[in-house]
Amino acid sequence: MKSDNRLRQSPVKLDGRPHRTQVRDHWPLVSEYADEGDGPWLVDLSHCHRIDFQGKPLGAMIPESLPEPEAPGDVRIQDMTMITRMGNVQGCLWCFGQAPANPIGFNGTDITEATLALAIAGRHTFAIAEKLSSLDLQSPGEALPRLYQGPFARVPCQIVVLDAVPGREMLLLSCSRGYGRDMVEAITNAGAEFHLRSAGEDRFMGMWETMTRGLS
Amino acid sequence: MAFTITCPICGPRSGYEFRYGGEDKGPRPDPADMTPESWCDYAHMTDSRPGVQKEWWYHRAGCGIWFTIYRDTTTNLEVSPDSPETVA
Repeated sequence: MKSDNRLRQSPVKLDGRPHRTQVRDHWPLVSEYADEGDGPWLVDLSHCHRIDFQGKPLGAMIPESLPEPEAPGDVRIQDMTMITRMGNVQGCLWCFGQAPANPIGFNGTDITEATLALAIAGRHTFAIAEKLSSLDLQSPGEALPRLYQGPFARVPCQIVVLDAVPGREMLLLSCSRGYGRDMVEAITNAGAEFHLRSAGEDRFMGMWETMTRGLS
Repeated sequence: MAFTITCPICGPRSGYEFRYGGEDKGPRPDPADMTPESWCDYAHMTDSRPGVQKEWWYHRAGCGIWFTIYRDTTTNLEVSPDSPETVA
């Protein structure tokens, strides 16, 4: 029995009418929604490959071609990949856009299918976030990007604050897949007063490239 | 129980993010010398004295690590490990 045509399924379905869609590595995804507006935006990134890895010392698990986050909470970015460090012995690799699923044969656990990944981006991003979490996501003392681990809409999440420049605000959320529908409902309701709309992956990638140009 | 606990990874956070793990009773009894009574004491008996005690907490809504803090059970406030009150 052939299985090549079977598709993965995102844990969430966002409101809005998809304008352009595609299938990448068995994941159907929306590249652009009709009428995405001026922001803020909610983007489903559950198709982006994420690999959890653990080791002691953690740096020994990371190939030399990639930067190592040195302390818990640190985030390192290289091209289309991002490495976060959750603790002394645990980290996570994120691969965005067309980046290969496991670019350098990372020795870890692929958690893409088990977790939800969302981005909230654009103006009022932090106004939406502070309705849903008591975490201090805008602490001026922390250099960005920065990883926070804590409750968002009461769900234990990993939250990466990527950018806080006005108009370019962007954060990533990751949690267990089963919370997906409730998480989207909470964010959509919190964002309604700010005219939050669904956006496709292209919107996120455009902001990602702008942000990474600023880092280099 | 609205108080703050300092996670060694995430920093000061609301106590609601944590699960209590009991008093820190030190290392387990040596299996070579263990008796049913000494294991029962270790597993089930606690001091439960008012004042500063060293105790285990689990950051269940955050980074997921177990760690110890000192807490004054009469004020429900975290006490610095360097405080004279923490010296047993």
